Amino acid sequence: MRKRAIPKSLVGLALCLAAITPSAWPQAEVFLEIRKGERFKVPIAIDDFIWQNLDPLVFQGRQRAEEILADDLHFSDAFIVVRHGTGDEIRSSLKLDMHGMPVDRPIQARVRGEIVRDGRQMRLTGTLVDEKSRETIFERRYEIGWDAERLEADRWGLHRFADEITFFLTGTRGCAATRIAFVRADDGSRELHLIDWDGLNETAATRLGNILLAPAWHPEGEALAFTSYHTGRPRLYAVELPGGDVRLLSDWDTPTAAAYRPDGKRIAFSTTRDENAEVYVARTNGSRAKRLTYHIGIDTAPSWSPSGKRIVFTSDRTGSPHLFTINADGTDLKQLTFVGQWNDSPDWSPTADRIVHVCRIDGEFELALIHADGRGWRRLTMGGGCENPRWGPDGRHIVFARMVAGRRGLWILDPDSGSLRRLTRSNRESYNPAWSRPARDRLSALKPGG
Amino acid sequence: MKRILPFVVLAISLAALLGGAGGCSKKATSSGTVSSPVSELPPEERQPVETPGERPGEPAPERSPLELQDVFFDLDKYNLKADAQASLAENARMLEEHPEARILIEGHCDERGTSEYNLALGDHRARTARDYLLRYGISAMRIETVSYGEERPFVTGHSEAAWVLNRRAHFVIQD
Repeated sequence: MRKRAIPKSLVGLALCLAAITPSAWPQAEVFLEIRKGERFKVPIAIDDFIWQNLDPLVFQGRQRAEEILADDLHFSDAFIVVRHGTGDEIRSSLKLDMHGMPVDRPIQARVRGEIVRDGRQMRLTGTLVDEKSRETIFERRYEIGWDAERLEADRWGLHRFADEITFFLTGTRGCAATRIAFVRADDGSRELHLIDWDGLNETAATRLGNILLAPAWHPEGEALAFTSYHTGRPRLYAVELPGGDVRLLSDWDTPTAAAYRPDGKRIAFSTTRDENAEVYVARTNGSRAKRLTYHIGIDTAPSWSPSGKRIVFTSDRTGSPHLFTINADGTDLKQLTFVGQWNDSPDWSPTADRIVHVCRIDGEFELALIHADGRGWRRLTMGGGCENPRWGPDGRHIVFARMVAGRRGLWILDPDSGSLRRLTRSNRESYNPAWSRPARDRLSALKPGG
Repeated sequence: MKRILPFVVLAISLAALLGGAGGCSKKATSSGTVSSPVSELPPEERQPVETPGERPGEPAPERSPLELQDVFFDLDKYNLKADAQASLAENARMLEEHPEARILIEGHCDERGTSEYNLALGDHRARTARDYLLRYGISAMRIETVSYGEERPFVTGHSEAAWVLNRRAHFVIQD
């Protein structure tokens, strides 16, 4: 395929994504107090797909191909999605209308898809076209898997296509081809589950029984670390993906809050082996653990900076839980938060600049942001019941658990636009989310111009 | 009568033999030696050790059944309040009265806060309760601790009435 330059009109739009427009979706559930600035969204059209040698397939979640793509682009909070052919806007646009969002701006780009059956293989050819010049911005092929048992097509290829569109038009990596792990409570036992970022395709990753908590993704997506009581005592384990083999990482006392270093070569976690919870760093097989913190209080919940050089963690050494940062070799300890009585569960943004955490304000647990240098603390939510915020790989969206009507479920928030959506719809409790990073092969595929 | 006299003597001898063996059995180690500090005294200083119920005609005093009280904590705290210390003192007294008992102390939290932090907080609560008993003289060999954080609430509910009961160190008597 001939390499094409991205049209200047779209580059300009991409640079405008931080501009200001009103908040949008879904207003009925919005409980945010966040600043009302919202990014400028790119109007983008999706043509109906062309099917060669086969009838249109039903995908996992009983969706059509165009619906999956439209949801992915809409959930990225970077686009106003318009369906071509009928001229109807999908529900995102209707919501925007309800709240005064202008949708009559000219369409900037158009998405086309052709799915071909070639023997047993099915392949999607996805094309992104500049609406004004009619030039092809990129064209890529994606394999479409088929589940013969459930008679459903795999959605992964469409998610990858959506991520590439997002990357080409915004310069920011999309989250569509990622999964979110979480703990689901079932009749007294907890198991690790996985779900696509659009809230569909939920699968169980463990069948261990008993208590399970605090999952953490290996950056390559090949394993999830977690704490489990399935042998009676809390221990740190990792489950291989795919496959489901479970191996012991640490049999020290009460190991929890695991976090892989971004290069995947070390793991931080807390353990009470020295009588009180301290943060350790070890190899990813649990060996050669080195103690990082030394205090009689609680030190836990480590999260790595993207460079892997610093760690933010929770400590109650000042009398109540606050966030601290420390070098990965245990030097240069600094207190990061001073606001509120209980700051906990930090997660360092992949863009390195911000740390999201929970903060107890007026007796309620809310989400808050703080810059990595300690400045710019900002409260994100009102209404309480928020837990375990975790950044998506785009550094823009945050998944977190929120208690509603006595039951925890997962939600996804874009703190800069105010967009908020519910991720899990199960009547079981869902909490302790962890957002995967794109695997390396997928990362390399996201480089523009290929 | 003369016929049964040898049997009576034999029965009394056997009873004395068995009674002596029974009196030593609690102190015998697995190797069969007597581990009581009494055995380390010079023979002339040794005095018969009286244990409850051994004196002829004296009934064994009834031990109260081993019941241990949970202790409760404030939100995000693991220090022992006065009522918690009183409960632990009573628990220690009960454990002294039941020297064979082994216990597991579970640390629990209410649902507020994160799972990871609460796991550490529950661990602190269990260890704080254990440390009180250790200072009281209860052997560390008899006590285990575990934290369940917020994962095993005693009371379901989302109000202070439930939370106050879930912030506890719970005592389990092990077999």
